[in-house]
Amino acid sequence: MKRHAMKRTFLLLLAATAAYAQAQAEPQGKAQTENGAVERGAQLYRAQCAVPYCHGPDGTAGRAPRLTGHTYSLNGMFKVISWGIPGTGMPEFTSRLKTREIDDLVAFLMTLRGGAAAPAPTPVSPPRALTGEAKAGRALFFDAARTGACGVCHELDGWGVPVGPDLAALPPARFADLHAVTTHRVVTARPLALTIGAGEAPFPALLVERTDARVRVYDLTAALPVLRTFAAAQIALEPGTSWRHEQAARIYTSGELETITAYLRWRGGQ
Amino acid sequence: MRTSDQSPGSKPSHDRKGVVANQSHDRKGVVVTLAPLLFMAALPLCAQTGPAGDDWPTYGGTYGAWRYSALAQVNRGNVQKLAPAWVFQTGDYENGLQATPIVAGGVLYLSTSNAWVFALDGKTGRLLWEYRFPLSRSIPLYGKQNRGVAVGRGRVFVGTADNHLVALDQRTGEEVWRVNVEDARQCGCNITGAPLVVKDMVISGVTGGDSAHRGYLTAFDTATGRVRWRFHTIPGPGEKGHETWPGESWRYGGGATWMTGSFDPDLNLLYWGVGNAAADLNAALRRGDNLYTDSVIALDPDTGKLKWHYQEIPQDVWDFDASYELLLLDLPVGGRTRQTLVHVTKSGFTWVLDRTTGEFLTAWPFVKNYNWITGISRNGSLVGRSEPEAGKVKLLCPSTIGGKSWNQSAYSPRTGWVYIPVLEICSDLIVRDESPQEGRGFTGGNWVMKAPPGAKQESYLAAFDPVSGQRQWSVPAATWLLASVLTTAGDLIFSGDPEGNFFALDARSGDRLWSFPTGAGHRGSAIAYAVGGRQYIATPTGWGSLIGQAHAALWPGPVPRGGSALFVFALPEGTP
Repeated sequence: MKRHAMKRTFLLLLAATAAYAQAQAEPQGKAQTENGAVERGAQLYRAQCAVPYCHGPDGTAGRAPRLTGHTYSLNGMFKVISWGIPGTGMPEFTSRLKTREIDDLVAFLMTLRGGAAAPAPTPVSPPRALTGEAKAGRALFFDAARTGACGVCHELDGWGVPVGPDLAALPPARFADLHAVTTHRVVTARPLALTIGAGEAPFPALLVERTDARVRVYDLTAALPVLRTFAAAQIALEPGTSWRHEQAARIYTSGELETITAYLRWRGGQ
Repeated sequence: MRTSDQSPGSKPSHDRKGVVANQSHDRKGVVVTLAPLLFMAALPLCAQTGPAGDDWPTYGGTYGAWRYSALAQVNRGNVQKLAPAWVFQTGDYENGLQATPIVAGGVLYLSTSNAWVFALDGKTGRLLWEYRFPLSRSIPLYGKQNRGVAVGRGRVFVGTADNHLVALDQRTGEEVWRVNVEDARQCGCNITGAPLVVKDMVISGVTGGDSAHRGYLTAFDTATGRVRWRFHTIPGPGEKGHETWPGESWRYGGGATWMTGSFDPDLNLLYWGVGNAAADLNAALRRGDNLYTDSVIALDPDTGKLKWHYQEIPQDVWDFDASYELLLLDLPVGGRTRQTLVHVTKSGFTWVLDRTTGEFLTAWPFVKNYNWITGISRNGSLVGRSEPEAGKVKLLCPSTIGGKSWNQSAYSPRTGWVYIPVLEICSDLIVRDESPQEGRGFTGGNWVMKAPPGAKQESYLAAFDPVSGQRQWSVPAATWLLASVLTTAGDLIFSGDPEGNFFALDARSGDRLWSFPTGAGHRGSAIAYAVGGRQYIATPTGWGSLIGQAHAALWPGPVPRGGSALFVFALPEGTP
């Protein structure tokens, strides 16, 4: 995690430096000189960005940041619009608008600018293109139409819930047969008396935290894992379980699991 | 008087008073291990469909969502003496305080935008416990909004802005379980509405109607958090109604369940309002009726299976979610008493359905300015649809905010009227083609709020006959009304305004009887409750919400003040 954060900071610095350099090199508002760019950009702004959810009709309202008086450089603004800001509501527009349209939008937004050039928020690199079977596999992995798709237990490439193992850290060979995956970490949790759940049957669990005071486990019984907290005296954990990964994978056909394998191998090979 | 206070399924408040007061007393002294049993015993007594008594057990007061309290200690004759009893500051000032507080056994439960939950002594405001959910930074476009908790089965339930449902121990506030309902980064959806406890389940909806998502309602086991059932508001391949969605449009068709439903224990039916179809303004990719968007659905709460549905607006292109409150009222329609469901909606119309079958009974406009249709036929069909058009800017009414926002209406069985906070605002609709990307904004256009054609924008609180729709009185607001309405057996109406006033009106005449400056705008829902024989009126204060942010674009003058405080009023001790 720490190394990741350092790398991110470095990239941010790099991007900021590049943005600053470019801002110095390029005359501000270059695109404004193009015939009608600002007007076209204003029109695009009204259609794409002015929704009350986002930047508001005049760049002043909404949940997203105020754009009147912003300090983005031309280059920074272009990058942010193109690739979005991860972890926020700011989407990428590369797949929605033509480059020319983004130019127009930037031209308009630079007319709202105020103050000195400042680094833009971290722009990200363009998403890697998924193709063919890998793309289909990813769609199955995160298929919202099935409650209990792989993504409810595994986080991958910024989507999903990190309950089970980090698949990005596993060798692609592990994905050969998704029915037969071994799950050593899954144990049997036995709730003890004197709790509201007294008399509750033992359930398959993944240990998350154990202190003298409390135990936290993921309960894997239902389609969505439940993070449950027990007083330490209220639960016993026993090794072994009758739970099998196959139970979770049952919502897919064998063919679909092979397609998911193709996706996992594709990304392992990147 | 159409429905008496002693309607079936509701107990007169004086009967309950003793029970609740004893329970409140027991909370302090009784052996700890008995406490969960007492909470469980209290639930069937409180959670009915009619008036609320000493407690305010669920979002709409009771399962029938009347927002009517049978308490009459504070009434038209003495409301002028109402004064603050205590104030609680939550410290979470983001997006104001939008919740409906819940009161169970004299303890008040309150939640804030960041999913902080507080248990307060209803008499003194003393903090009993607090819980703060560790919210992630992945907040979908609907933002951090929280409209309240649900309480039942010894638990307090809260939904979060990053799409978790959390169960807390009602006695200690300690977390018992939490579920990530769907990864918010993927679905672009979250929980802003209050959950609803039905039997041994807690039921929660999700947002997502404007962000390429397929809506659903999920029931979780109150004890373990395990999913009991999930009902998708858009039928999948092979399911009835799927044919109303061409191609892949069903995957991203909206149908959010972002507000709280109602429940009829006698009929064993769970009712929920389903939101708009997506893309909101553009039906190019979804020609068809788009079931069950803009519908009322009635489910068997034990299985999650659909018992009936009524679609109010097929193929919505105005963003007219049918998500708002569902008032369960027994009303005379066509010469006989019908078990109805009264649905005050975003479209500016109120639909009245038979809640046993879903049969259309009548519909009436509560706004003066509407042009999206010319009317509704005797059989419920929309007449004269006026739709947004590509390449044009079209002024349509009501606006995408709605003929009212989500703040709740109320019903008084003493007057027989429904009280609605009305908005007379329109919007310029601009359509654009958009291809859906899962979890990303998918509105199919844009909207700009405007005054109605040839009229000025306005807002008022009005009383209506729930069957004929005849307006009885209306009281204008200085700007607009975005707080819910509370009615009481003291023949009082309570609500608050953006300017910070909390006020009481005469339920029969609309005369303003009392007002108190709380210092911050009102966007929440007031309640009434009693502890130890003393009646309290509680109101959240603090401006916020997505719609609230549009204030400056619509109204001149100062922007409503933020904040996050609960004001609790009572008559001075010894008031006759």
